[in-house]
Amino acid sequence: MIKLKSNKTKMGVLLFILPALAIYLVFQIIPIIGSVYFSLVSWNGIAGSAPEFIGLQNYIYAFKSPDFILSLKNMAKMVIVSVIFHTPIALLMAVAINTKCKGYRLFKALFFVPTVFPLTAVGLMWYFIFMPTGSFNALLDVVGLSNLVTPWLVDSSTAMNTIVFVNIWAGVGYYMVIILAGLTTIPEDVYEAAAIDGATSVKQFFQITIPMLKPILSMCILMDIIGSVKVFDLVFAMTGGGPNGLTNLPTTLMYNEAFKYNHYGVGSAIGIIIMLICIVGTVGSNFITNRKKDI
Amino acid sequence: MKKRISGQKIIMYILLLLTAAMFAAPMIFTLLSSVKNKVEIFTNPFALPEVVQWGNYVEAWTNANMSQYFLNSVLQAGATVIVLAIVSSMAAYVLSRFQFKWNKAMLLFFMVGMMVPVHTVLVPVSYIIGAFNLKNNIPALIMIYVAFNLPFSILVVTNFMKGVNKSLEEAALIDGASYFQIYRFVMLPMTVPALSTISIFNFLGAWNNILFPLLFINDKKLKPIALGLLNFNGERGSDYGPLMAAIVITVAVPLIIYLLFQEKVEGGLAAGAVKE
Amino acid sequence: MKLKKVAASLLAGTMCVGLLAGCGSGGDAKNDKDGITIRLLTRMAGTTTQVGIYNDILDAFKEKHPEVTIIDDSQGDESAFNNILSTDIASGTMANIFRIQGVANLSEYIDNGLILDMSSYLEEDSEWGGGFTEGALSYYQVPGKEGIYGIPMESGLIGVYYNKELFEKAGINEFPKTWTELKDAITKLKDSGVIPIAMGCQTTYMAGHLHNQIFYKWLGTEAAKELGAREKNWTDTDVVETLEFVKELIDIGAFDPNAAGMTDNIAMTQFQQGEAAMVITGPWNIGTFEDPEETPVHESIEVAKFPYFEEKQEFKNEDMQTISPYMVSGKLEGEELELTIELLKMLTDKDAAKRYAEEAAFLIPRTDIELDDSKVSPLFATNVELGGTSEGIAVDVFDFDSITSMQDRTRNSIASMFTGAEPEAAAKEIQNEVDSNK
Repeated sequence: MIKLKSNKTKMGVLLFILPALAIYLVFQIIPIIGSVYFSLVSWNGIAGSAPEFIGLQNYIYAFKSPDFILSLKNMAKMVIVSVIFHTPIALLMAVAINTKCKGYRLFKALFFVPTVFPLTAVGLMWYFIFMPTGSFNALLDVVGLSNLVTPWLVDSSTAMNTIVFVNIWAGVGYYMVIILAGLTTIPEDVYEAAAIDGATSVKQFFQITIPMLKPILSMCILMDIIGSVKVFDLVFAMTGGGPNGLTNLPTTLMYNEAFKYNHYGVGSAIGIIIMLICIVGTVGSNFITNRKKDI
Repeated sequence: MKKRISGQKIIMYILLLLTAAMFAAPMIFTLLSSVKNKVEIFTNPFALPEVVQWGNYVEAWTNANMSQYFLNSVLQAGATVIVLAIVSSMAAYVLSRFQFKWNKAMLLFFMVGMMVPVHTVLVPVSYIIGAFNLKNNIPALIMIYVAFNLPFSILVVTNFMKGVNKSLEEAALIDGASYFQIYRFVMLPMTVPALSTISIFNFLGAWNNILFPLLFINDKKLKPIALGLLNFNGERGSDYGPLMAAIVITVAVPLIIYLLFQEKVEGGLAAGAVKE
Repeated sequence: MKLKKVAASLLAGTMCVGLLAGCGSGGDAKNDKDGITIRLLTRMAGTTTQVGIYNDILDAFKEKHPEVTIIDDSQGDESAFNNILSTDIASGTMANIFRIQGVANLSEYIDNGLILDMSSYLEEDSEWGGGFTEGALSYYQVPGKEGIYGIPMESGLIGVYYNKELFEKAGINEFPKTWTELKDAITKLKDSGVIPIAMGCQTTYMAGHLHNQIFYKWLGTEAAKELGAREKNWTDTDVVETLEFVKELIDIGAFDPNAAGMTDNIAMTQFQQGEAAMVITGPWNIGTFEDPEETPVHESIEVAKFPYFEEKQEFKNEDMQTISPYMVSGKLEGEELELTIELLKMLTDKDAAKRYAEEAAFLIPRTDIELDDSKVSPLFATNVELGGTSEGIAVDVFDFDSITSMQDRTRNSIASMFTGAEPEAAAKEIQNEVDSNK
């Protein structure tokens, strides 16, 4: 570490950090403060007309709105189902690939590649599969399961589930790669010792792999929670939040409120609520994993 | 003993193949459909086309403007990558090499951005864009991309620089090199591995983004590809063949980047996540 | 105090970005000192004939005034268009020529000086201004305001386009005039194996337009204004009845069972391919319907008004029409204003109207178009004729509502009936939006 004495060189060195700081302040920090401000005012979006301070009215409006409550329920479903499936499936995939079985590279690439695609493209791809006249229904017809044909993205019992499924499909590879990196850190001799002791591979999995990976697994779950709260592109491309708000998430609803209906205050309030949910999710899952460590 | 293991292996293979089918099917369907005509696409999703319709690609590339969107995305994502590499490495140089009281606080300050969901700051950002007339202004769009990818980039590059050997630097300092010269000719070349990692991520991030261009870019001549694809679907949603071709064009670049830099992408992901 | 601080820091911060952004910028056209820039934000984008004519006029203007830069932000896609418009409004930087659909929210914009009063220009140039139809101009006389705030650039009856051959095959020789006849026809069409009415509710306007038709025939166009003025509620029995009629059509199988999940594109294709017998749409699709390549069944397509209710004879000619305006920014001055008006006149004068009508079947509501009958398509002629008999005109029911979210709210709730929602529930949902915005 270099300790600078003269103030002049100090200032000179600070110039290095200035561009990053400026951009970061303008488009991240000031907007964070700004969003709190906007969430407390009523503003019709017309330049020149003054925003009016209304306290927590926007938040009250949001929580009274059935659309927002529905979007929260959808979000809960998205988070819970994603967490239940993402990490466990990713773990199984990683363990299977880690055996270096034949073709493991191909499998890894195949599972991972959706995560680098634009979610809009992924969403459209699946939209054409799940739309009423889409290929999935066509396939069901061909194999003689016509009675299962459903308008997947329209029917209220399947629409949100379908989107959650696509979210799982599109994200599982990400967690798989992270867990795979964690698996390589488990020394081989631990397994060897266990094998000598006569532990079956299933037993090894539960008694060595999972405990050793615990920190990584809990981090995956944490990232999954935050990531699922923030899903936007997928819904925007597949249903736009419809039909009739059925598949709205707080993110898509926020977009509609602010930029479609010019309810900038309500939009900002929803934005703040999304942030609070992320914070609670982070703190909460940290709390739970820390407590488990103690036991 | 041996028998049971091979039995397990078979089960594992079957499961792997089934999962692989689930992952491959939608991609194969899209790829096949992109060279089929409208009727063929849905009569039997996995049948081969009777006549390969290359015309779909021509239609998407020229008439649906995908070529323009493609070029826009290359330029916008490229510029984002370059600005981020410069800006974040400069900041990381200070944060990793100089001892200031507030260094740790500053690094934490930059990390705040990773915690804040984009949607939280959307209204104020669009207010700034509107108030300063920065709509359809590509440099402004790039600055937004830079701002939102900055925390991750600074984190990765700072961590990497902390691990870089200091002897070369010290020698240069004794030779009388300025801090800028050290940054430019000593640190930067040594940081290339970290810079290439963040650049891949930043490129993908800019290529895949729709939210910011959706709000701030409405000039058709400036739209990036992911948004262009959505617009194409909105305007001509029943031209399935050309649409599928457009999807293939849109995902082609991330796919190629991944195939070329497979280790880098996967390694970078794990590094970024594990070191957090 | 707080506000000032926020504003100041916003300003300071953004100036930094401005500096940074400046280095890479190729030069914003708006900063050019000499030339005047005219920006347009209309729906004229795409590959249709009317867009071609529009672009020709822009080109002619460019030729006449090479020093003027034209930026055309026009969007074919409705949500992309709304998105630009709302940010323009938010920043106060309106395009020179733009359009806002509906009238209820105009007064707020007028108060903020965003829209120019056109009445003096209309009077000044009587050859141009005197040619517009009275009804179309009066649509842009905003309640409580002096003046006229839009120049009508498109109008036309939104009616029922139907496939005569499919009707005949189902044993129907004449297009139904009344609601009862319509239901009867639907049953026969359905039995003959075709989709009676093409509908794609994923693009919710299609469901909205169907309801508009029923609403005006059941309650008249004035009732829509009463809803907007809060003299009427969506949960009133007679309004719920209009929703029940939609449900009735759904229940007798008037639509494709997949209608809820289909887009307008798909529904329109069904009609064009002869798989569906009727579609509710406006004259902008006439060009497509007459194109043998796009519409194989083009020879059997005809147009009629939406059937009326026997017990509501008085609303027989209360029609849904489309009226779209060009509006001029209220912030223009001097030469820029003059040039903008000149361009506006070129876009809407007699000659333009004639070209639009003859080549694109696109109607500017003027009384002085000298149509060459041999050039005008019969479908378009019928459409104009039918539109001329309208006694009350309205576009969408929500056009008279000042709540910006009512477009989505009404359309979404109406579309939800296609996935099984009850009319009362839909009505409640809409009324709830009104109540929570009080």
